[in-house]
Amino acid sequence: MRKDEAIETIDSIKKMMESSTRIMSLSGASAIAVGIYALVAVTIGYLSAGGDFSNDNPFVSSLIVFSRHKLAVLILLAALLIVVCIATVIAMSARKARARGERLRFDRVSRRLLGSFFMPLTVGAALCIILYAGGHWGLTSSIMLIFYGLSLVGISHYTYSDSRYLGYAEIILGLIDAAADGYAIIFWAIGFGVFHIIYGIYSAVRHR
Amino acid sequence: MKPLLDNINKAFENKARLGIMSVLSVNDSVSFVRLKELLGLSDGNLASHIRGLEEAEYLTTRKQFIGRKPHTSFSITEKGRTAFKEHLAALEALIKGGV
Repeated sequence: MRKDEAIETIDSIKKMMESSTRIMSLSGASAIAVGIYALVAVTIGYLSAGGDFSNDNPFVSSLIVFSRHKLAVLILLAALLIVVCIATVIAMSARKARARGERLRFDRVSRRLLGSFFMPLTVGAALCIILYAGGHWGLTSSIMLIFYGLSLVGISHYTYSDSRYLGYAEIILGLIDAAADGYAIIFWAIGFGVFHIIYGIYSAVRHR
Repeated sequence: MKPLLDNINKAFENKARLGIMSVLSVNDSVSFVRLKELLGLSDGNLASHIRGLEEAEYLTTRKQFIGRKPHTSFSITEKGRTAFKEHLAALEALIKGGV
């Protein structure tokens, strides 16, 4: 066996190990779209909850949603955002898979990926609802950021390992948010909007 | 350089066999169907390579029924893991040594 053959063999071994344990067709670039949706949604949410950009200090006090109607609008908006984001990630990943000559499958790796993604998210969502029901909504945005960050760290074993860095960033931001007084909407917009866009661009360039 | 080449395992000279071992080395157990998809082999082809590796005691077969469907899955043995590691080390030495 010659040296170049050996290198080729090692490469094919690595590729086989990777494709049997990770979903490399998950679209990192779809994070750009997710970030943009999040920024649009947070703007709509802010305005519909009575926020006013023309205030001298528009983000200081946390927005408090007193009316049921406004709360229903926000929940609807959040649900719509989640559905649109998931649909976009799946559609862009399916396209990436086709470009790689593969298909998105509901196999063991994708089941594990979904499991480790939704487990922390479900716990975080339950915690938010429990706290909200008890009248403690001050930590909602930081819990969302922290548990979403944990989800990203969790899925990094089943796809590109760099998704964990986005996860760490979200967790740290969530902790800072928990320590800060007010500004929740700004932290939310940075974590779910700006961080996604930055990661998406990085991922698109790196994994092209 | 001769001793290095001795470690290059004949059982792994075939690409399909090396592929099977690569997949098994990083997964607890892998089904026949999944292996077939990953390696892009036909049923008969995969079965014959698996038989070869099984005879070398590099993998174990587990047959069970999921509902009424037979389900065959494979796992790497300790012997297989050691042999695969040695093969990888030999390949790496070959690359570094530049034979």
